[in-house]
Amino acid sequence: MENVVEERKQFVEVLTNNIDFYSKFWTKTLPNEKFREYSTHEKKTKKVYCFGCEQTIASDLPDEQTWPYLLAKELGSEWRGFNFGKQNSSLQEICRIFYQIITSTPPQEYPDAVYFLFPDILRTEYIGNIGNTPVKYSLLFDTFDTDLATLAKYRTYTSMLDTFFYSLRFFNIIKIMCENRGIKWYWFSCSKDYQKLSNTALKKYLDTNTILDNGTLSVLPSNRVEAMQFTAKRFAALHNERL
Amino acid sequence: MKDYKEELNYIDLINKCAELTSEKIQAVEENKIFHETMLSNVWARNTLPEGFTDKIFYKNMQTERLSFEGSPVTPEYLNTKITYSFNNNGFRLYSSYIPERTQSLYAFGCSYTFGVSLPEEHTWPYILANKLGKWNVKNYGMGGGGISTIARVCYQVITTLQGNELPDLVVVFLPTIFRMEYAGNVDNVLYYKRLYKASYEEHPTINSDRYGKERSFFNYSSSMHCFFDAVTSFILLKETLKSKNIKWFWYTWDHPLYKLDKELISMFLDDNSSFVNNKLEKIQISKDKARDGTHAGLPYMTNIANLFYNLCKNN
Repeated sequence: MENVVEERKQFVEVLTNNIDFYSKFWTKTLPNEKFREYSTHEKKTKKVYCFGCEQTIASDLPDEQTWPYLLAKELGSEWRGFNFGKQNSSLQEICRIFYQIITSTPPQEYPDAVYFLFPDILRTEYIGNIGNTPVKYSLLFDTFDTDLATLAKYRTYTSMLDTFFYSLRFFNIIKIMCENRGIKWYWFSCSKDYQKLSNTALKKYLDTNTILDNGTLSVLPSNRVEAMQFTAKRFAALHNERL
Repeated sequence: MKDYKEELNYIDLINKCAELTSEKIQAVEENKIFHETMLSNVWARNTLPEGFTDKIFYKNMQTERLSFEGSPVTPEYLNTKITYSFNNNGFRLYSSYIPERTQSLYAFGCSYTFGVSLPEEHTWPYILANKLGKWNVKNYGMGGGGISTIARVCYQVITTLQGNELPDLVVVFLPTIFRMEYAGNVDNVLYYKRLYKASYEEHPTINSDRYGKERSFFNYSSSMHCFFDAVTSFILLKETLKSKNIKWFWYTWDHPLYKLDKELISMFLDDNSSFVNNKLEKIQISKDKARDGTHAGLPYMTNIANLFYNLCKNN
């Protein structure tokens, strides 16, 4: 009990002493993120913003093989692709980056379309102040073959159901922010768990402005380059279909 | 390892929850199904929350024993039987609701908004509506609700409404940031609960028997984690109301938030609240308690209503 009381007392102190660190979360000031830039796209007029994890930033692939680049190309010659992908980011982090970008953008400069490629939903963030040092964990729990220590650590913080419903909050923040600002948006996910959702569950919990086959989420090709092409082509088709 | 594999079935569970119809939900009151019901409505779109905790938890409230846990109960409540009415979604229904009235006020919050152990005319949403000129008021207070609960309920309620159905004003009375929602299926028993160990530092009530069964709050979370969880919920709340151009104000009884400067509050939350000397206005809970001897009584409720009234008047 004393620990809890002590932690409550330290709360304001830790927050105010580390405001630079914590203000990176959910403030209108963008942190010094290094996003991938496509130099060949500079003079184009329409903007498409792409958010996601390492599948989006694709730092191991040349520009012309990344899906945001390919998507801009598919959409037409006037489209400029912006890649806001970030290595190892979770749905929360993607949502946060989007919030920071969109709330610091004047309405006349809003993108013409926004695309999200969500990672595995079992990636969750945990923000703590263990040892008075602010930390941000992006807990990764991709497969059941992961070592037991990692699993145990993960289980300390969350359960699979908790992770699922937690991810829905961030999905809804993104959704309502786009709708609120009249921005066209589409999403897709490489999360195997989202792919297993039934048609009913998909409609009930998420939204259907996504890439579907027979009413459920499509499965990404396992080959990385093919996955990039698949995402770009299907996203472009979705966009054209809904114009 | 076996335990982890069992969790693989959670997708089946989610799919099953999605298929539950509202008729089924209303018909079944057994706990297991009840929890599934709760899960099926978490963040659900276009679905009003059905069968809330309130409906079940408070169904026998009329005969609940009086509690005298060290706090004096307002004398007039001692011999008063408090009867709650609920609407179909399990929220407290005010008898004074008159459909002809054009202006409406929605109040979201926890048990302080619900008005546990208080007659309806002593709850702050009721007092506020009368002060504003007899507006219609709807009470979406939910006993034990955290900020994430409130944001979820607000999202579910507001996104189903259009045009004239929308309220003219929303007021939100937030609880402590240390209440967090957790959905789990430990030991094959589904549950959906609010993690809550210590309400605030001045009143550190930790009851390990009650809350420590599934997992300790302290293992699950940290104060920073709670804070940023509250921030994300707040953003959902803010964006939801902004999307429908609804005027809104908020206040909280969370003591750690009272200590933050206005600049910090504005940076992470918003400034549409009441500030005094660059801090959130602090309203002390008076000693006159509600009938259960735990929740606040009429004086505190009146102060909260006054605070929101002044915010409305000045804005």
